[in-house]
Amino acid sequence: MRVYICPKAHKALKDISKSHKKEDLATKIKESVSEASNFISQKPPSEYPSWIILLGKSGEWSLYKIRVAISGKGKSRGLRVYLACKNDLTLLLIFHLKSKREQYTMKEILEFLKNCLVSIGKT
Amino acid sequence: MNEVISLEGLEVTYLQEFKFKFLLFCLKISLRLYLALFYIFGVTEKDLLSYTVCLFNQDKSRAQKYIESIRKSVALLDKRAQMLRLNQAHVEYFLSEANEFLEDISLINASQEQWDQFSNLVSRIAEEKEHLPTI
Repeated sequence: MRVYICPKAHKALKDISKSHKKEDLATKIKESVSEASNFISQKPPSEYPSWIILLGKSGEWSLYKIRVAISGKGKSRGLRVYLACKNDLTLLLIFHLKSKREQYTMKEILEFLKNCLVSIGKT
Repeated sequence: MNEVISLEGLEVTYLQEFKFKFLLFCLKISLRLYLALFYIFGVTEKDLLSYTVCLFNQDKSRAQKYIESIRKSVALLDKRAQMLRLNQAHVEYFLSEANEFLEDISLINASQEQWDQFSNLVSRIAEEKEHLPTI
């Protein structure tokens, strides 16, 4: 399975690496993504571990949320890691939360994707 | 075509149902008791989510009722936590778990139009994949 990271997610991963050197949160995210991708491609939803949530499907694409497995409570809070999957292609989307209590809506995810397209257009 | 999350093979267990209903019952009596039991039982956002998703497939109106109960409990806790001098760290943890649960449910319930937009946007991003960084 080939995993691509949206440019914004790539920047977020770099920022996380800088601010969480000891925990190496970025490495944990990469490991979790790799593990989740394997499950998604090989197992039916009923066998997914509890940290992979299938949020929905449309056309050939599915949207999953993964909860990053790291030691200690709260380290991954403030981050949302989503995977958009289609056959052997997975896009990794990472969101930063402005506040722990803030909830993401589908509208904001769509806005993020539109911004990704704009940033790709600039490269 | 949008498919609402379907976790085939997963069923609501009696223990899940008991935990969930008992917690909601306790909430009506006392916020402190509710929070204490929340930790004793070790109920997490994921438990609430899997329970509600299972219920969602079995009985949508019942599921909506529980989602509304959680929504109310979050609002109530948020409002009264300071007044009751509850442990702020515990309250924050519970609120973020519950909020994340509500967020997941809201995404699962996104409209068909939004799911179509999602599919369209990620397809366009994937077409540009040679410009995307890889993991």
